[in-house]
Amino acid sequence: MSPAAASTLSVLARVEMGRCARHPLFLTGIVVTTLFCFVDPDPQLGVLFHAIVPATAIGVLGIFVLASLTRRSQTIHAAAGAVPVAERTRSLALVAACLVPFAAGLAWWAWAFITYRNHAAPPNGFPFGPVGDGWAAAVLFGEGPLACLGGPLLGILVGRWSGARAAPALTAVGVIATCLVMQGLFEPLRRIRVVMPWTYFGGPAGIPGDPNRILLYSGSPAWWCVYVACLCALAVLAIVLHDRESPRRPVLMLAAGVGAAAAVAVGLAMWTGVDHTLVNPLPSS
Amino acid sequence: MIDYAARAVPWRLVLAGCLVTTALMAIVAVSPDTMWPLQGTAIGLLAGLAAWSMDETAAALVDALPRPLAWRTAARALGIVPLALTWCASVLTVAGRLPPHTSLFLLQGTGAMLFAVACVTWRRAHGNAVPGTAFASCVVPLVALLAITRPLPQHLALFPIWSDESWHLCLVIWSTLAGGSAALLTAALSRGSSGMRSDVSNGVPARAVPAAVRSPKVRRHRH
Repeated sequence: MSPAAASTLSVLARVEMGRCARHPLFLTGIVVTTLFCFVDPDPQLGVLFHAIVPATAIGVLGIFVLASLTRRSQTIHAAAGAVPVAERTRSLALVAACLVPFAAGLAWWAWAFITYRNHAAPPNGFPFGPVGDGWAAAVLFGEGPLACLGGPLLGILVGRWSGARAAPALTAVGVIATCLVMQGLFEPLRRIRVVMPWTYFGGPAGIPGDPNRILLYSGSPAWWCVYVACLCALAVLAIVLHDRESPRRPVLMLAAGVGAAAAVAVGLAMWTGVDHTLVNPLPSS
Repeated sequence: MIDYAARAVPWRLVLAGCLVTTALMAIVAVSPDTMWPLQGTAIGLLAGLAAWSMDETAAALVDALPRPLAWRTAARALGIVPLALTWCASVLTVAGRLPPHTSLFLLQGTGAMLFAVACVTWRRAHGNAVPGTAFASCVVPLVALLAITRPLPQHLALFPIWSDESWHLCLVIWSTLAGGSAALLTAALSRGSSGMRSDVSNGVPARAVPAAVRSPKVRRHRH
């Protein structure tokens, strides 16, 4: 990238980050996430089950925020006519705007991890067994900041590749539905659930006779974080790939490499870490 | 009116919405206890689809036709009929697996669509030709957020699931929403029938346009 293009990208990125930070839906998500930080976590499940809040309030809403910013960027470009800024530069500026929700997710992650360390789970609670602070930090990172980054990236992807006005809504509903189905509650899907960009690593899934018994699901949250990061990188490459005027072959080669890394990471997420579902030996109540 | 609706309503979007709503309620029926957020998500999607159906993307053309806002709204409302029927059929089909509040669930879906139509029609009566897109972009994610996080379940009982939750409060909330929406829709349509047609043009409110530009009679008198 030439110095002039880098300078343009820097200016555009600041503009898009400001638009993202001022977007009403993003601000709503921040307010909701902040308010939930003042709600005491469930004594049995702890702060690990708070991760649904930033993932929805910042991540899912981020799909709409960045899709609307992408559409606005396209509208401005169309209105301006021939401009010397390439689509790739404008796309990268929008990608840079995703750092705003990611930063909010990181702030939540710091709060959540401190809260997790200060509120030990009871013996019949979650988590239990052979998992430590690193495991919890990885779970919180994947379910929090990475969801806050992935949702907005998906919004740009949808905005770039689909002109349908309902595309962001249908995408968001699809993401919500598939993530709910693959959250680990259905035993046959428990091993492969880590292919989803958001899932749980345990919870009150229950056993016969104790419907709220705490379970610890199989898989490695650290490798799952690597996999989700690869998905985010693939999303960026797919966004950049939309520009047909810039060279696409290097991007495709890079995407193939990242795709291979994602496949390896998801395999490791499935088959390393906790090797099978563990049942808390103590009854839920 | 049928011809108008056939051309004006985004039928492919309505069809997609019907299919997605049916799929969501089918998933809910598999495990209502754990998949319940999808019920609220489906209601938000229905509201968004109803709003999209009301967008007049060719307002500059239809404003010139001798059809008032009420007539055009009624024609476009034909697009909401399949959505309402799909919601009712989805709820009634799986009613045996849901909590015993079928009439409340029917009210939630239809009330949400009525709310969307009322808000969008009100905006249309005030000069915004395509308010549905912005409305849907807010209502779909926000309702999903409320359905998933369920804040203050005892005070904001929008999508209750457990038997010990405040079902009566939920009924009050949705009844109030539906009643208020009906009143808002009536007010919007009456405003529309009393001379709003000149207000709606390319989505620009009349007050934003200089009077000399707004009224061709001024120029005619000068000639």
